[in-house]
Amino acid sequence: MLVAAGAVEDAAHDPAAEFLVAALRSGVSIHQPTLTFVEVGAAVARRTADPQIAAASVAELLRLPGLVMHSLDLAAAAEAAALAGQTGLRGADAVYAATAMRTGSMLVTLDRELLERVGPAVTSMTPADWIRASAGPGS
Amino acid sequence: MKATINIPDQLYRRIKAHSAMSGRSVRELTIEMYERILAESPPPTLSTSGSSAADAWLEAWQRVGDKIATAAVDQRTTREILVTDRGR
Repeated sequence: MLVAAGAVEDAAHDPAAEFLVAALRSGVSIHQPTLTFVEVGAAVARRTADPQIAAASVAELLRLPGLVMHSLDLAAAAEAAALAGQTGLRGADAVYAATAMRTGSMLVTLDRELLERVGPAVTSMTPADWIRASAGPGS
Repeated sequence: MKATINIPDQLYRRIKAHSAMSGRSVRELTIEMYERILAESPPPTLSTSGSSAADAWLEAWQRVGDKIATAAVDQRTTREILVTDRGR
């Protein structure tokens, strides 16, 4: 979702950016596992073959207002592993879901598989669903 | 609080000389410098509202996104690559 918000060529850019700016303006904390920075840095490096741009993207992400980072320590890894076992989530997906579960946060993602598998342990929705829910009935 | 900072040799020699001539310790000069910097330019979080901080960050993030798109050697979007990395 964060990646789509920054990429105008991404099909999900508009709802992702709209969600993100609304969430940031509201002053909420954005909880992210530190895995996010590895994944984003790796994907940007593979797309551009430019380590400086990859580093710049991670540096900018670290400036995200309201960002709270969560390391994958032993306790967090155990929770993610348990959640993966219960839901059939893939490893990285389980780390994101467990971060949301641990912090009592809503999981906002564009990933359909993650949304379908995460189950009732975590409240989850897409950015577009979040925007619709925030707009309220009749709007 | 103690802090360990790597300073270029030549710069440190100059500030040591300045310290000796001014009669103030390097520690005093360092604290004075920090206080001056903070007085001259308060951090953005103190002078920027939540809305403008959000908008400013998103603009900066999208500028990074534009650089990525311009430099791309792989025509997939960054998210598509990320999803592939996750084994989808």
